[in-house]
Amino acid sequence: MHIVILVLVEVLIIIGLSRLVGLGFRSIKQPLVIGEIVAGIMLGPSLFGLVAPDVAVTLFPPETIPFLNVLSQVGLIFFMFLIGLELNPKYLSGQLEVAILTSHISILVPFSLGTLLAVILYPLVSNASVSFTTFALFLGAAMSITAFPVLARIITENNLQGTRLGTLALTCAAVDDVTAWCLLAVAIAVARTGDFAGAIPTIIASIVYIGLMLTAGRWFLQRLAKHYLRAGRLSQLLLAGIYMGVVASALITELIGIHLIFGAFLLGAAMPKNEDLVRELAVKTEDFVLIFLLPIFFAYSGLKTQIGLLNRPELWLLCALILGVAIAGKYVGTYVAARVSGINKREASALGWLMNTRGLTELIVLNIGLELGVISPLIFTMLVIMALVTTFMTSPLLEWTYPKKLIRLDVVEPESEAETDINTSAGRETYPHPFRILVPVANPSTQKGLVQLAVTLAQPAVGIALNYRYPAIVNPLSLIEFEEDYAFESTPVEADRLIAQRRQQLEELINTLEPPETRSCVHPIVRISSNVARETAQIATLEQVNLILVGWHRPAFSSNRFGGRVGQMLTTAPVDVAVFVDKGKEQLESLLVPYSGNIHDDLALILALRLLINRETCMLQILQIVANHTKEELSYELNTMMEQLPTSVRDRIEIKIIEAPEPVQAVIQASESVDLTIAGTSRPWGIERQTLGRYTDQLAMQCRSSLLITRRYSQVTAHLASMLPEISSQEPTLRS
Amino acid sequence: MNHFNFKSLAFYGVTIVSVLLLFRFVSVYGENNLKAPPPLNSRYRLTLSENLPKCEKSDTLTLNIQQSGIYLNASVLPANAKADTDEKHSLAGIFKNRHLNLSGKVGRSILCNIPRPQNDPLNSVTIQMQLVDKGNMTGQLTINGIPQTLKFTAVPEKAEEKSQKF
Repeated sequence: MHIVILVLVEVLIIIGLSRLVGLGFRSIKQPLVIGEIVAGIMLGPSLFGLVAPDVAVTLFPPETIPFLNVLSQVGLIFFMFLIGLELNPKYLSGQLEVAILTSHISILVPFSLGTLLAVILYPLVSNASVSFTTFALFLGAAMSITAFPVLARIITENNLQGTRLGTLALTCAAVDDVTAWCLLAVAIAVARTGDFAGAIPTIIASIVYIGLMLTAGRWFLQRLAKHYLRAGRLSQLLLAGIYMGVVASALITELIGIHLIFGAFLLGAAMPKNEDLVRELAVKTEDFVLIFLLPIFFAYSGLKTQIGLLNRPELWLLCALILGVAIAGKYVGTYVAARVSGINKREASALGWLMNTRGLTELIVLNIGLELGVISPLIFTMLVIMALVTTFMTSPLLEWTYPKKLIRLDVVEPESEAETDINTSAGRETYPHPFRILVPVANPSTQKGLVQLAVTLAQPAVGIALNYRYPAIVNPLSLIEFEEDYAFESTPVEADRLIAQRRQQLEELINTLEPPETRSCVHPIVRISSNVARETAQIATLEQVNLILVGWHRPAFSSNRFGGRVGQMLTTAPVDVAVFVDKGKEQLESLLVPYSGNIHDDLALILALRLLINRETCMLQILQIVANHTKEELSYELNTMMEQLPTSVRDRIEIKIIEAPEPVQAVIQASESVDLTIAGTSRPWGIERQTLGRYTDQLAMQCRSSLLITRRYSQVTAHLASMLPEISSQEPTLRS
Repeated sequence: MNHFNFKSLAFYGVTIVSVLLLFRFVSVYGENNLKAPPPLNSRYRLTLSENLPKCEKSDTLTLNIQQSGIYLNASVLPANAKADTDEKHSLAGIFKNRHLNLSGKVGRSILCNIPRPQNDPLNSVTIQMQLVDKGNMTGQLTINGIPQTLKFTAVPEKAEEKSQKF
């Protein structure tokens, strides 16, 4: 077969498999990139070559490997450019003193341990063509790596970027990253020349080049940025210039005698960090590099990883020793330094695990080592296993030492927390907990009706004096979901920008709410999330929310009305949920509750009563439909509750009992004359709890008014207790 | 700036210098006292002193060796095999005191240098080699089921141009 065709087929397989395995790893809450690395290893002799050696040799014949190498080197150069581009001095702003100490120690300890480990490993797994100094230097460097890019994503995914731990870890990792690259550059120079003395000219030349890039190069790039600002966009000509710069810089560092990747990284780091320029440049570059070229690097690296080489128990022991030294070196170094700097135990421990993330930075280093012949295939494989394990363990260990529920929901506005604190601490006996409504808002510009309804449910209008009132809080929740977990948009700085932007939109929305007095009880929560439904349910539990009020739009391509996120929330959220189908009515004055007497209908009625109490102009019609001539009455409990309502409220309730063969049609007809229909997810109304059946959406589709569908989770939530104390004792037993 | 005061700088200075001293000490110790095994060639041509029993012709064989320190993985190939054939290594062994010990399974068709049949019976083999001057080796091949040991000499083949390097 023609070699080009073969290489293209290989690329096809590589990209397909790396996406597949990557997504698999994402589903177990691991960074996509680990999955891609594993996919590369699977394609190599460790799995594919083991189960189907003949097919493997046919698909990946040795003569195609150099072509994959070229592609992977190009990918690596541009990836390093992206890493440099991401390195923002902003990360250095937080707790610099602690960060410098911690990152220093977290490099020096594993480096020293790596050097000592070399004493054991050198006679066993190296050969005489490599000097001990080179081997020890390289092993030390490999041990002290922290992968800034992977760490940054883990931090964003866990919503840590605003916290003390998150900023500290980022600063440490940024310092570590730069230090480790310098260390690696020295190791390469020594490896190429054989000893320290021979490497000195290379090291001097590198320092001169770095100096030049950070002065003259930076000055030139700043002019480029000015040009960009004037033009307002990144033209292809400008982009061509930058890409040429990346390649030229890579070539210069290769000529100096370090490695291609350093030049690319340096140019990225020297780029002026103009927000728009960096974003546009990163977005334009990253897709092709991350989707197409980087998986080829992983596959190329995987083809050289031979887990089969570890064919003796003592080799697995050596591998465990390397792993132990790598983990202990980073963890102990970081932990001790952080404790000395006055960080508490839990955070110091979490920081220790975070700094253990080695990810693909380690893979880059190892491939250079193998290419230079400094490390043998056996130790290469051991170190790849070490890199995978240390990266893989970060997320679970972080969750273990620093569970999500302990990470402050620090994106909640500080005032709201303070307010809640005061309320709960000042009147703990009288007010056990404020009435809280969580409102997931996907699009602040179109969901005003939803938030307005939440506010009306939560707060009485001005002038309505209630003798007993709980504080009520509405939390509009905006979750930003990243499509890709390894894109520029998921870097902490960018995530912060998106959060600020979304918060701004929510603030604008809140400022349009009526009446203005109620705005003070609305506190938005904006977070990054990888799974909106799951995260909503988690926040609902953490914040002890009484009700989730979610909006629903007709899906564009799906016939399943309540599938997707709303469906997931309805099934998974451990609190009461109400789904609002907005038909665009501004005023919600006349309400309709079709009542068939189950717990979901009770919730519907209770919410209707809340609206009734909070708005003096509201009217409520309770519709009871009987199929045959048996005349049903409101349940005893409901009747009792009605009797306890103040007359001013009771006067506005009309109970209508009608006879109809098809309840849904009757409700649809009745809905014509009202603003809002509130219905429980009960069978007569065609809305099941799961809301995935075939009757599911008749009401949602045909209802003439806006619709609020309620699903009760707990039978003991007291939605009315906040307004009418005497009811609170009855409400939980409303229906058994 | 707080972190650039004398105390911190002294601390950083002391730690960095002590790590450098440790490195210096360990590397001097390593260079003088630790001996890694000499590098082996990745490809040897084996010339057997006599024909394998039950084979018509089996004068020369190729031995591919992948060395990781003292740990070896190797494969035996027909003499005319292409230089870059990526055969799975079926032999494993240890390299100690200029002495190689390899054992594993080799297909009969390879040993006899005949085209590979559908069901190629595998022979358990043991190879013992001794490094002599100029990288040449002498050794003996033991095949399970055949009582006598076969002596051979191994000559390193010129490593063909490596394709990975840029």
